[in-house]
Order: sequence, then structure tokens, then C-alpha cells
Amino acid sequence: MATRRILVLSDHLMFAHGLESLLDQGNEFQIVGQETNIERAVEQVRALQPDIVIMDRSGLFKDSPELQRILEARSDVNVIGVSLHDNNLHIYKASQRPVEGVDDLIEVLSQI
Amino acid sequence: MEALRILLVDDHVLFRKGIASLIYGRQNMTIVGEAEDGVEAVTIARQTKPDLILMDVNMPRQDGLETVKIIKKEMPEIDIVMLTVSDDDNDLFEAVKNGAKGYLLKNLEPQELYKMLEGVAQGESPISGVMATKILQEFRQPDKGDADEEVDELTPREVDVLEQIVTGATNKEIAKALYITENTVKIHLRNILEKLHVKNRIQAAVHAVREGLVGDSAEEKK
Repeated sequence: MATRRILVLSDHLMFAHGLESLLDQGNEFQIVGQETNIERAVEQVRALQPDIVIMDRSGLFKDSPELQRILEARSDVNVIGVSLHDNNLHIYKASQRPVEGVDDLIEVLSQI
Repeated sequence: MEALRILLVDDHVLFRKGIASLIYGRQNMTIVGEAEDGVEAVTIARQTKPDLILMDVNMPRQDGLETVKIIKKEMPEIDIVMLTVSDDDNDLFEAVKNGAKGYLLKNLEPQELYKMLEGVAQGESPISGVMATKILQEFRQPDKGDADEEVDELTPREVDVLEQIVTGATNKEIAKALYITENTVKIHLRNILEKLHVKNRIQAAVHAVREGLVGDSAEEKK
């Protein structure tokens, strides 16, 4: 299967870099970008056309109608919401599941 | 030089695993254990005797502050660095007063994490902006009195250093501004933190006596 290209949106840099370190190991996933602000995030979604966007909803990206609009408009982008305030993966519009280990995140991402 | 042995404590799984993954990539440090809350942290600290504990302030079951108190009492040689989303957290300052060497914001670059850990391992006590303001305020409060022991006040030089930090100056900039070496700045910071810890211990002891928790008054209250 083709490498899934992931854009990480989070102003918590330590978290974003940590995710990159966890996921960017083999051929399955590739982190194609990391953005810390909404304006750049909107640009990068358009420019990079990622398969998956991992969005940290516990910081700057919490309330962004413009970003929401862009992501909703692109049916080929899958959004996974994470938050530093809970151990849940929010599978955009569809469902939510708890995360107990890195395998849970990888499983969700692999099914996309 | 031996690798710094770190115990990682945070209830957020992906954040914790991410930090662990970053640290595994570094040559001079290693993760000896992970814990999800304060209770687990104490157990694993006893088992592994890490050099340093990197710990979130906010956790269920037993939070960072409580855990700092327990570990500093039982295993005082272990350095503790707090992790936090906000540096305005009052529990954060309490943790530093009770013995934590410093703190890191979760929105900092990993480079800051490595620098902090390496610094603490070398005996440094990194203090920054908001924390410096709080320390100054702590020493400027009128003494709560009744203490038999004298609380060491900050020297004028130490106040200078803290005031520089409040403006956001780096150690290098402070050294230049005060015509001292960077090493001297670090020594001042270490002493400031030690005075803060001692002041806190004395206040806690005075408070305990006053509240009848220990000593003669404890007997009377029974």
C-alpha cells in the first residue's frame, strides 16, 4: 500500500515532534509537514494535499471555522483529532475511540 | 560520561510515548521507566532509582505536586523537572518550591527539552520569566513570623539576576548585563532555588506546628 502522507497541526511542539518520531519510522507513514498556526495550516492543506491530518484540538487549533471548512471541503482528507487533555482519538465526523498505546493510533491511521 | 537515566511520568499516552521516542534518539540519555500517574511514579522510582524524573503537573490519582513532595522526602537525590501546558499554573510554582528543579512548557521545541535535561544533570537550576516573578514575590512577602530559624533572604545580586530573567534575558545576556560570568549566573540560580526550597520547608514546618499537626500543640488537640 502507498505511504500515507500526514500533516500534523499542533502548537504544542514537543507533542508534534514526538508524534513525528513515533510515526515516521518505516514506509507506512510519512510526516509531510508540521504547522503551528491556522493560516499556515490552511495553506499547507491546499499545497501538500495530505492523506491524513492529525489535529491537536487542545491548543490554537481548537476553534477554527476556516480550517474546518477547508477540511470538510476536501473529502479525500481524513482528520484525526487529538487533545493534550484526554486520551482519545477523534475520528472526524465518524467516531471516537480511546488510546491506550501507540498501536491504537497506528491502527486507526492504517485503516484510512 | 554515563547516560542520564530518566523516568517519564505523564497520563497522556501519545505525548508520553512521543517524548520517550525523542529521548531514545539521544545518545546521552535513556528512559528507565514510564508511569501514568503519581502513584505509579513513586513505585517505579523506588525500583529504578532514576537520575531524573520528567513529570506532568496535572495527573489523576496523584498529581505532580503531591508526587514531588513524596519523592523529595524519600529519595531527595533524584532531580525532578515538571512538564506543563501553562506556566501560570500555581501548582507548578508549588512544585518548584517543594523541590522540582525547573519546568518545561509542552509547546517548546524538543531542543529545549534536551537542553533542560542536560543542564539539570549538570547541577543547573533553569528558571524562566514567570517563575522568576513568582520567586521575587515570594521573598518580598512579609515573613509569616514565628519561625525560630532565620529564612535566608535573597542577596541584592540574586535579586538582580531574577529581575533580568523576568525581562526574558538568557544566562549569557544576564552575565553581560551584570558583568559576571555565565557560570556565576548559574551558581546564583542554584542558590536562589535552594533558598526557596529551604524557605518552603521552614514555612511548611511552622504551618504544621501552628495547625497542631506536630509538636506540643498536637498533643493538646487530641
